[in-house]
Amino acid sequence: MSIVVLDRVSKKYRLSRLGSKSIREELARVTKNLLPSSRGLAGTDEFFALKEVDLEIKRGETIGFIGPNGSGKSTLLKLLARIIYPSEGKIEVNGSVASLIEVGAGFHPELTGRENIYLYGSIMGMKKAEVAKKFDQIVAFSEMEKFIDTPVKRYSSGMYVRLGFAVAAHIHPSVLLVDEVLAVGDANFQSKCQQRIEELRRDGMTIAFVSHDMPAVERLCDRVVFLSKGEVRASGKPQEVISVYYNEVLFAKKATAQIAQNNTGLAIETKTSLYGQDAEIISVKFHNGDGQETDTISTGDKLIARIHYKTYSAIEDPIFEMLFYSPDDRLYSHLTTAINGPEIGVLPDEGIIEFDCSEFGLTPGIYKVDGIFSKRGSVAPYDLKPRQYILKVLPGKSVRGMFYTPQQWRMLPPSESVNVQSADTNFM
Amino acid sequence: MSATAVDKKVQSEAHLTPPIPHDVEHSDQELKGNVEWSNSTFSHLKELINHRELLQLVTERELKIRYKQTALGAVWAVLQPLSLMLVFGLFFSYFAGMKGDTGMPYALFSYTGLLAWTFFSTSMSFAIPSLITNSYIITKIYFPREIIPLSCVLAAFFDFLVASVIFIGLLIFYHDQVTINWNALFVLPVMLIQLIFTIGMGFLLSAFTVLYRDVRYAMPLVIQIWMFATPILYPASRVRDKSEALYTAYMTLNPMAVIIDSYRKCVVQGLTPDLKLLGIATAISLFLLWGSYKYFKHLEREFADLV
Repeated sequence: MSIVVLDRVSKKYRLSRLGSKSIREELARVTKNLLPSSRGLAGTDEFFALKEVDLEIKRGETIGFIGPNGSGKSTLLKLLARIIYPSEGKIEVNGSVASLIEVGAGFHPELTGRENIYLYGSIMGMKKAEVAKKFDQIVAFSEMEKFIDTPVKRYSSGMYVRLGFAVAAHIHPSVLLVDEVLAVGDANFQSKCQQRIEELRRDGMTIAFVSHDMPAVERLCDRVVFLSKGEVRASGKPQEVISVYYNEVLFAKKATAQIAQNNTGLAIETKTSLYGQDAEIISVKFHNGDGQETDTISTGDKLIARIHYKTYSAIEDPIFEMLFYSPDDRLYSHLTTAINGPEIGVLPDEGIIEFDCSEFGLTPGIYKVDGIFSKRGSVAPYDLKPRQYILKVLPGKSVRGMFYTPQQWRMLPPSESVNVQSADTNFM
Repeated sequence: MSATAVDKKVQSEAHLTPPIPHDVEHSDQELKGNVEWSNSTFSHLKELINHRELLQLVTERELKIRYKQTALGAVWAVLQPLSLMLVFGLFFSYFAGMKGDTGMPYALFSYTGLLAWTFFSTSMSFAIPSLITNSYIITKIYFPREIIPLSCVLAAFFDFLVASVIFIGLLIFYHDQVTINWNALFVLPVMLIQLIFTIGMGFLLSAFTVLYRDVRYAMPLVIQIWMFATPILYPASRVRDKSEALYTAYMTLNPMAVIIDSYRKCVVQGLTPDLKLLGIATAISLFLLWGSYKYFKHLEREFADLV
């Protein structure tokens, strides 16, 4: 059963009419429109925040909205919350809607936390006694016992969010709309929010939320809708839609170029140095399981990484390494010939070193890669290509946490389980 | 047993205590409600009635902020009409020699008018910017928006009742110059008409202010002029003395004139108010309320985009 139905919903803004005008401006506009020369311009400043969106949300479904900034996610939530009105199309919601839009739940700054809880309850159409019944639960969840009689204007933004989420998550609306609150508050509260969302989900509440936190979206949602420029680009299973999102937004040429560009400082520095005199890294290339060259793989897939080198003098016992950095320059992973496998010994003039990772464990995202060619025990490498290569990772095998761990599992036959147990007791 | 061993035992016991159960009420009832943009005034009214507790809470809040957070509290409600009465009394009665044709002591005459007028002008000054000052909540959550200007009018009505205490005091003080009889009961319908008219104006002007911010700055001046076009400091009979036609226009086009005139007639003089004029004022007020409510609910859809 559908609890929310959107039928070709559009939200249009006239850029020049954002905010209200004075009568003088309005008169100026009217007189200007009377002049034939300026009439043609009328339609050009229209802007579609959402364009012909069709969407159905089923009762009990948890749906995530993802997309770059300005894609219409928040507009969509505001439409569902009935805060704004669609320019075209129809929206039907069969039930009450509680919303946490742009951090605040709509608190009055002069009122205390306690008064605001009651105010919010009555906005949602609850009776005083009903709010009173939930009051302690809300306060306990928000961990705001001490400040509940303080005007909310004295709250920090974290406290504000905590109380807002606590109220919205405890009054049992038919649909809960959550906009990016998971990004605010400390880690402890974030995990508490996610836990609460999972509880509400199990209780059968319909939840719609907007987030940029892809792992959270993947874990919490039954379905994900990817919005781009006000239109639905993709909708369906979280993993698939998130892949499309990564491909189109995060891995877009411009974004990649930007990330690659961030190295210029480092790159110039190395060019002027002595790297590459005795030996050189010609290229670093990635191949997928089928042996095809690629710059994009999925988590848990086979990855073959090749370093192509050339030497200009006799080199003995060298080390080849690759380092994987996130865009914010944190080291995530390391491939090396130093520890794994035999010593290389005397090196031919030119060749390729291949790393074979049967199940590559990095989580989805974009990584900048260093190629390093050095002598064992030496501080100065022969050649260093810092952040020169890009590897993109799409969602693949399920990841909860920081990285994927290759794994196999089996069910032990009953007799064997017993044996294991008895072995244990014998050992004691 | 060493101290560390004791510590360990305590620790392991702590682990054994069962975790505090998470108090999630699975039997919790889902909040009812229906999100639907409707065009019918009937469904708008139904929704408003469903939110009556919110209206009460918001009105109480409005009053609480005014009465609790100011040093003088309730005195403010009384101070405005009272100080105006004293100032105007001094000017009009003492210097300008306004006497005789008011039919009652000038202090009582002017206070009656100022009391009713203050209710109207206070309502307007709070209602007009109310949607803009409450933008923080309008852009965050839905509820019937008319509750905001409505609560401003109701809070001003409360002030009006508080300030009426002085009026009753004046009636007692001048008891030998006033006539109290059954006609005094007309005060209730007249009050209702004023309330209807004021709410209608509140809806119209608060919504209009969202579209055109000029309204907010123009209205104090308009209210000021309107005050002098209403028989507050002078009797309506003065207009009649000049021209009968002007008087008819004056009383039919300005419901506030009829309302204030009627208050004086029924409570202070014990007369029946002019029912024909009162009927016209009622019709205007009801039409205003109906029209402005429809207009308000139509514009309401754009409030969050505009405030």
